[in-house]
Amino acid sequence: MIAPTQPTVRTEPATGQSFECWLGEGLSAYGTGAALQFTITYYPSVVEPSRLPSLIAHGYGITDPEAGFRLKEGELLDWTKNLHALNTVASVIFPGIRELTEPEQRNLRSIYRKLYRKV
Amino acid sequence: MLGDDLRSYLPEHIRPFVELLKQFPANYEKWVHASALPVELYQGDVIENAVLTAIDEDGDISRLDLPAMVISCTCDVQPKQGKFALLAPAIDLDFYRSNSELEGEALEGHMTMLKANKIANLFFLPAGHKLKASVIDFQQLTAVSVELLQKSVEKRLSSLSQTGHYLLLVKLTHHLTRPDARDAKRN
Repeated sequence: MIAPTQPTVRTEPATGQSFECWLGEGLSAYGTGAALQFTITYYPSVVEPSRLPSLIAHGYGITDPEAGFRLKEGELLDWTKNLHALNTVASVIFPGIRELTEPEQRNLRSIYRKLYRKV
Repeated sequence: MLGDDLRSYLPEHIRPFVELLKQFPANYEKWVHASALPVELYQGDVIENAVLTAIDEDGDISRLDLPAMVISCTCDVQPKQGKFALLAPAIDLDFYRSNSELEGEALEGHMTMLKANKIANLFFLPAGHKLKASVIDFQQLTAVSVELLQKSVEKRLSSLSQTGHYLLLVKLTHHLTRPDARDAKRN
């Protein structure tokens, strides 16, 4: 226990400290009961257009007692992150991916006509 | 480098295979299939013969007897886990090509896009295990009894590797969860 006469050492707000401290300081500005969702993404400069944005951090925080009734991080962020990642990977490994064109759809239907039989 | 960024988007169990994905479609046929058929039925497995259906523009039901890929999640196709599972037709690539109405450059261009898996509605699967090179059609899904499907476990033609399954998920996600077109207005 700190004696009342003993001066306490208090650090300055996190400016200039580590990234985590800086982030924590920024997020602590939100009061109890506030739901906060954030994503930090690094966007490469225009001189490297071939590079993809890099996801640095996802976060979701709720401090109110009703939190159990809200969507949890695992259900919300993991799922959106997963979908985002899968779609991003699709655009990288299948560049120019597209839907079937109208002639290609007609072609596919004609192939099915040779395979299907009426019930 | 592009590959370094791509790695951060992959789930941990796929990261060791990032080089394979970066080189896609080169050597695709060498890693898409599992080294051996697993005991249980998995998402992405192709069964030898399935009864698939479609309802045409007149409301008539047509039947198709073809190999088919399991599209439902693996946990939903286990015994007593679900009533129905989704299957997609697997059309033999040679049949697809020889019965195509497209000709010349249009056909060659289509086949190139198809084999590079750049057509979102279709999934190209090279030959592997007992399966001949096939075209999986995500647009023509049929719900089939899981109980019936389980009887086909012994008659599977192929099963996907870990990376092959990831590739299937990438394509399925792109096909089913892409955003609506901007002009698709709703009330």
